[in-house]
Amino acid sequence: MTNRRELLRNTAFLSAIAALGIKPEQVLAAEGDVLKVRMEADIQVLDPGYMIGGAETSLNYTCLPRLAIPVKGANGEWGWAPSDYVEKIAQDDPTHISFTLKPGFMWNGDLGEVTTDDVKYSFERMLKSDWAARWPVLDHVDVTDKYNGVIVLKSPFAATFLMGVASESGSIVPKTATEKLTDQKFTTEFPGQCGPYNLVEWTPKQKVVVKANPDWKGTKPVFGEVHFINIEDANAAELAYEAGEVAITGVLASTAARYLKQMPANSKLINQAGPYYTWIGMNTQHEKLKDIRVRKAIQRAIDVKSILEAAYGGTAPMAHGVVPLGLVGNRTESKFSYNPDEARALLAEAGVSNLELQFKTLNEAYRVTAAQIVQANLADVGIKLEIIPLDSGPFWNLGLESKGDEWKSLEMWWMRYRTSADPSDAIQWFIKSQVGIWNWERWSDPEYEDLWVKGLAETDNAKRQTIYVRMQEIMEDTGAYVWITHDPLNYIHSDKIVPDFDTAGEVLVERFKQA
Amino acid sequence: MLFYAIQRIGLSILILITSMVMLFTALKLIPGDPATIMLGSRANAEMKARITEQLGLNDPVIVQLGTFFGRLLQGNLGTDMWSQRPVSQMVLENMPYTLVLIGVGLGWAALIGIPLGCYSAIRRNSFIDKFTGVISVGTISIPSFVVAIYAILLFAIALDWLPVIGAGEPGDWNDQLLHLIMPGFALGLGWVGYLSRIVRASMLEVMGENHIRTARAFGLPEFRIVISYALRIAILPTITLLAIAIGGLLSSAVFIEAIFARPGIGKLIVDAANMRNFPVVQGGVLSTVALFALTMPIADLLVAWLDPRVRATL
Repeated sequence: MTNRRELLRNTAFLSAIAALGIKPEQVLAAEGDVLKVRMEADIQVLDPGYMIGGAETSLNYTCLPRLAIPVKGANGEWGWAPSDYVEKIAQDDPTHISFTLKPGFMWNGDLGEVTTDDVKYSFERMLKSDWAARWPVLDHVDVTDKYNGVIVLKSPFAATFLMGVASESGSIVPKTATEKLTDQKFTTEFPGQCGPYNLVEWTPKQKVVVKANPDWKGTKPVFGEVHFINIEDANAAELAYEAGEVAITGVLASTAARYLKQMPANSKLINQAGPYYTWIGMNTQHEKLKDIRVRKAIQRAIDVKSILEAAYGGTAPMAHGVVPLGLVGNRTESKFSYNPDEARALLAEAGVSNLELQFKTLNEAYRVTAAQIVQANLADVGIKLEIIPLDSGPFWNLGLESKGDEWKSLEMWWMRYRTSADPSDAIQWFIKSQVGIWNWERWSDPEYEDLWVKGLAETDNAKRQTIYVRMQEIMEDTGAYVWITHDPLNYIHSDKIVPDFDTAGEVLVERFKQA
Repeated sequence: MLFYAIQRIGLSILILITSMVMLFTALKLIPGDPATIMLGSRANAEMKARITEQLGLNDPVIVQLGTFFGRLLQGNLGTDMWSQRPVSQMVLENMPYTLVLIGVGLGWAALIGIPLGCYSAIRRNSFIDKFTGVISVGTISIPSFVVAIYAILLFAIALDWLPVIGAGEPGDWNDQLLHLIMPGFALGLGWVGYLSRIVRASMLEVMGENHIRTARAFGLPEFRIVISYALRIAILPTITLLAIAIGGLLSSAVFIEAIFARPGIGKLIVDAANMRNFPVVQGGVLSTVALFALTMPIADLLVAWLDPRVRATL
């Protein structure tokens, strides 16, 4: 009896100790002056020339100057606007963009004022960086004086603003401080900052803290302090949101579907177009698929709506091409739809029966789910499909001629690419010179090549719309593509905040507002 | 004793060298070009050439192995491919978090498991003994990540008592302690069953010994007999079990660190693996192997030091 009493007493004592240490109430993630947002991956390279993405993008926007910012129009289309740092910026002619910096924007750490020399240095160094593709036609920057300059392009390029000037690749770094660094590169520490917020603390694998810059002369941010909390796992981030530890987080499609049915208290869900395009590809040169009627039969045999329902929880839009929603060139309808009868007729016309194909995909749950639906759809029209899930190593080498002969036996696959905010970026992988590299479908078309060149030089958006829509029609007509979706970005956030994002869906905390 | 110590440490070094060779070979056997795997669809020829050069992949495999060992002997685990930070520094930053988490996990396991085992042994075949048997098997079979998720749902979301994410504010001990309660509990619960079962079995054996009977004959209180005479001896097998537990807890910590977004060596390895950051994966795995290889001889030596019967057999 004594022992039992002691055990109970000790248990009660320990519980009391534990309870004493527990916070009486939890601080909300968006309460007061501090905003807590989830960052999916820890920062590794803040240098705009060598960055990886994610929170690094957000920090570039908020801690470094730029000449222009991305702006979403009323119809959901992306455009740009002059930033707080410039008095004016204008495209004088197709190859010249002049700008005038506002005086008085100071780098921290006694690095002086932001000048045209910094702009010239920052943009021209991008040409030798990992992100040089963001500035495909930049020639140089002319320095007129301390505040005035001209960006000179080699040829007209409509996407210079959205892909370069107004993106994270248009971040301006302090010339004098960056030049002193080894290889003139930096990783986790800015050589100098000048933005609405200053990065003040980085605890590896835990968080990044930015504080409102007291010397900032532009639009004041709403929150005095923002904590980027590192939560890699999407399910953990979801729990963290529900526990009130972050005010906003990206969530998986399955979670978004659940939230749509039952929203957490005081929350809002954002489902917006992402920078991705997903499709099922077919190798036009493979013996089993070289007859266009077989490929077109497969296009019509696959029920994309069912895939979207099962693999994306019904939260993803149906795609009709490779150019995502909100960009010039986005296509609103395809020339084919799910029609198993038509598929069977095409196969009969081609004289194909007992066809057996291999379907390769990255080994991720939603992709395998989608593959199983494709398998059932094709079985319905008499095609036997073998699903081969692969790890990223072998998968990304499948279509590369430089990596062996796998491309010869490649038949069908599930693919997803990411693009920046211009159709030329999305569409560039399918030109003739990409056959054996990223054009795994292995086709080419003279009209497509011609339109590719025209699209790059065209600056009129209406004409570009026509060009890029036609290019996607040509792609579709090869029969080698089954458009799936532009994977949406789903965010759950506290209804106390009004979030804002860049073209790739990265949070722009300096533009967040309180509801 | 000295020979025994040298033998145990030598064995650990052998384990370490073997695992290093296996790890190096495993990374070489991964299909595909490492540079392409790391860079994915954004790879271009220049970037791939730079990564290949940085990883030293242009050298013959034997040279790469030699360089790998040469660097290790100097305590150099390589450099993070992206941030260019030394991997040894990253390991040193993260390892304390994992060690503390494992310590707290073991603490929870010991706090619940040892009293349960004692109580079961004292009240052998009673309802309580049978009930704790069921509890023990239950805790062994529930994966730590399931415990973690239910703990979060209950204590963080429903009751709003405990924080979920991270390791707490650096320098704020109270906050750090609060951030350890749930992860430690989730990690340690699985070992409660093992501990209670082994303590029970050991206690039953010891309680039948002559010196316990003698103590009873002298009229000593039962509580004193259990704690001072029986448990002191019965606890010895748990030292070896705890050393083995460290290996298990190291692997479970990967899930716990991911779920609670805590820094730690497991999270470091997983994050690096997601980024195909091979030098960090290599350095992280080596560190955990080294930790485990170090734990086992320490446990063996501790048992030998504490138990004269074991010492006598050396």
